[in-house]
Amino acid sequence: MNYSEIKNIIKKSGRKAIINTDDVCYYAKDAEPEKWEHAICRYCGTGCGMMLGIKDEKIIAVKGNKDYPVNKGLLCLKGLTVLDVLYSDERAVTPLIRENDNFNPCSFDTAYSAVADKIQEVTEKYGSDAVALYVGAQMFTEEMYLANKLFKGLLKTNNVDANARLCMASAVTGYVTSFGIDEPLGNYNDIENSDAIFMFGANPAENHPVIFGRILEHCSKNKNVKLIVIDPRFTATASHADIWLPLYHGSDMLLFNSIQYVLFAEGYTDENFIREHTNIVEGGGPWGEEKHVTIEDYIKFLSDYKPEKVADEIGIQPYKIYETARLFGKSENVLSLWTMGINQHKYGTWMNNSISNLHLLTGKICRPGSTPLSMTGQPNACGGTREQGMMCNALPGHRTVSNSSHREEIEKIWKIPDGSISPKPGPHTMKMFDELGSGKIKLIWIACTNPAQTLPNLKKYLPKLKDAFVIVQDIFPPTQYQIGKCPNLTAEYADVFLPSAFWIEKGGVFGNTERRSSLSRKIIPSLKNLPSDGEIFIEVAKKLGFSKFFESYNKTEEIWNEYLSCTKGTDMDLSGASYKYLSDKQSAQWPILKGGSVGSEIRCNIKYDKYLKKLVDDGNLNIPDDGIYFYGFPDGRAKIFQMPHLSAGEVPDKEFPFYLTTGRIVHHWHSGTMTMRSKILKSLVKSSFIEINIEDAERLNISNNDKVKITSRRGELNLTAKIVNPDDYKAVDIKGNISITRPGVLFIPFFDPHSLTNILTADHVDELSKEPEYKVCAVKILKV
Amino acid sequence: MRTDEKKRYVMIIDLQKCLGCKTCTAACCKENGIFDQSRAWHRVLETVSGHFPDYKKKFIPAPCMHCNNPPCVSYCPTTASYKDRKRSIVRIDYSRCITCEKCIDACPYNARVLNDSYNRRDERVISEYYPYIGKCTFCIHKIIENENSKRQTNDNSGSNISPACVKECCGYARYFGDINDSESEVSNILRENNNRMMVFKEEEGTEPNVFYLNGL
Repeated sequence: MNYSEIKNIIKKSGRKAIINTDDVCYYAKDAEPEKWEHAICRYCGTGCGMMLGIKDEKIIAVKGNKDYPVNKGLLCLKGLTVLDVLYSDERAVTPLIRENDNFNPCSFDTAYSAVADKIQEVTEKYGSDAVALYVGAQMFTEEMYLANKLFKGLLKTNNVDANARLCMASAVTGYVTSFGIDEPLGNYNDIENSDAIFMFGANPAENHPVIFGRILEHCSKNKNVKLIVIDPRFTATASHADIWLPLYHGSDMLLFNSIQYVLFAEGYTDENFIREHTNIVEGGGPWGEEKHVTIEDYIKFLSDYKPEKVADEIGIQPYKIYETARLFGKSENVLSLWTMGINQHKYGTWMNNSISNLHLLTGKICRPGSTPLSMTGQPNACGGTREQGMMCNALPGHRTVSNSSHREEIEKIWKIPDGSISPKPGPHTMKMFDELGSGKIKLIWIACTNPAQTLPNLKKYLPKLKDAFVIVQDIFPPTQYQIGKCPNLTAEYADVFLPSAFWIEKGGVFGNTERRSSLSRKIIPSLKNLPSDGEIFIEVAKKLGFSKFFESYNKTEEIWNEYLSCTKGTDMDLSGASYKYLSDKQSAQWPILKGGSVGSEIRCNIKYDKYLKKLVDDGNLNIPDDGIYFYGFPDGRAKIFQMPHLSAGEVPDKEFPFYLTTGRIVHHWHSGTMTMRSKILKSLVKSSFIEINIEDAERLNISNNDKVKITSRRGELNLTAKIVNPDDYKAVDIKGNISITRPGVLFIPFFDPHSLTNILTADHVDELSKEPEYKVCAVKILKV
Repeated sequence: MRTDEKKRYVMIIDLQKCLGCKTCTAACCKENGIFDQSRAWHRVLETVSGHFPDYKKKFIPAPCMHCNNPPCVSYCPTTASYKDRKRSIVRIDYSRCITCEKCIDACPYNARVLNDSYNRRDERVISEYYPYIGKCTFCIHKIIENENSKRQTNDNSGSNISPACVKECCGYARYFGDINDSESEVSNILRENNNRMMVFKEEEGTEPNVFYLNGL
């Protein structure tokens, strides 16, 4: 009902009193929760602890968990409204099987048989590599472990990838190439110990509010702490910054090299640390043979990136680069945080390496307050995907499929015949979808993610999704089944649709940004007794004739314990983190060895890192006096990469003169399948928009709320323009947050299923991480 | 402390610490059963100034100011809007409200909105889809509950009376309490930050009970 309708009712009804109860409490007294239970938030990778109030097996209240170390009692607006999703009346309850254009409801048993029969049919006809699995990093680690075992171990295909490929694959390759090990060295507590916080391509004020709250609290208590935001958009985060660097898209490498130049030129580097703990190299991986570079040659290489020489191309004044670099050099402890603004680039791996370079050159690493920390956007991206090895080249416990001893170890734990696991890495996400249908892959199983909205260059991939046999596992059904509801676009392509239990209706472990594993137990019975994602994998495996490999899993705890044995002795040793340990301590940061009382806050420093301590205690490992040892490489030295600047995959030209970038806004999470179902969140921002800088808008004669058409080489999209005119200075109550893009740059959020931003984006990928470049493409804009 | 003693509840918002994350708006909607944020009682205003690349932006969370001279009260034809002198909170007596919307126009802060009563947690407003004037109440139900509660403590700055927006603020930017109690947290903060304190639209002469720290 809208405003004018209400007014009409008043007019018609005339004067009417509403019942009065003076000082009666608003609270319905009988709705007091019977008990409170701890759970981990379902949304982003911050991993906040929640307290859920239960009455009659229903959750009636949500609040932050005061004792949980990450959020200390706070939740953001998405976490606060998560019950809207849990109790949405649009939840899927019946399995569906497609018959031509219609979905027929069926029993779970029929659906499992349909899935198993089809998998059997396809593998017999085309071979085991004709089936594929694509999952979201939002299932529990135990569930992903089962899926991994089913596909890599028993179906004998490595066609398994996770949507983390689109999100932080570059952070993985960045860490692995720089330090030899995946996952960050530091943790959130570094915020409170830092003297300067650098934010590269991140907007935590909107996307990780709880973390940004901690940052601002730290800044306000310590006035000398500086906040530097590097982002082409003037976001809510940037409005709190001491220095805002609005660089052009894809000029990041120029900026990084330029900062490194200043660090050397003004003597902020730590020569001792560089000599003791690092090797300077160039090349490696797909960029040719790795070669050592002397420090003199490196300085010579950097001289091409003197701020004065590159400032124009970066789009900021040289003095600001000097100021930024000096802040990095001068501050005792520096924390670097970044998200998709770094990872989703054609040279995302290099940018990740460059952030590590800054810390390695100045020795600001492996101590409280100094670390490069990549923030994640999904609750189990670090846990289930990276640690558990859900990527096409990985196996549980940071193992890889190409390593024969790794394969043997896992085959033994999975109790499957030797040689079951294929040594060939499967196709990465983009290649997997490219091979769909007419290609090599005939069947794809998609669980807990929405590729029909989030893949780049959608027009190319959507027809392929139509050609293939698609199994979709999700909590929201295709709309054809419920007319007039918010669409779940991937479910529309399903041939078999399997509804699953949601979040606290099942149990398991989530792993957040800072290597923290947290147990989230099953608190309430699932809606209509829906099976959990893990149970679905088990049931289908049984139908496929793999019963004996799955019959030992009666409880999630048994799966977790088996997974723990996979991590034993690895750099991510979790063997001390049993369910009992996790429920006593609520969470733990690995490495956490068996019998150990606490986890490790900081890695690669013997003072904090339990795994390194064990290595030193057990063997004859000689480590430098300062206790820092990068055990990812045999010589214990991290790598400083000499990387040039190369232009992005697509840059603006005469025909397509604007940079386009995509991202999230505070109200909606990823593709909006959950947040668009929260009445509170949806009411403020219902649909997508495009942000244009006032300078560009005036030149093109576009004003606020005009309809515009955006065209890229791949497609076009009609949107409403959102323009902020700072000259018109007054307090505005604008719907949603105001961000301002720099001139020449446009921004569209991607949450809206009705206007698909990814029709415009380009699908070229980073050569090492295979992550697509969502953040840069060239477009033109026309007033309609 | 006796319960019949007069209280003056105030809210202090530190603008330097406000992230702009709108959690306060969502928390308010959730607490008070409003499902349409465009008619939320507690909005976050934004100001922008400057030119590229020197933009400046401030977020101004704007609940009802619970003024000492509330224009909405003086404009109300039926005296439905009134100032609760016991707690210094501007309230609405729904038995007298005729939904004429004069108060909505009178408020210089646009703090009042027309809500529909659908699904509202407040059980007094019963008829579905019947509109009512809504505004921030400083979550008075919590204050009253605390007053009636046997567990009542003398600690009025305690979080049990804090409105939802104060409790859930991700930036730790808000404080709530009784300023008549000279030892309360809010009194101390106002004393310590005297030079940073300001009110919204001081020229209106409304004497708001919501104070801001540092810089509009």
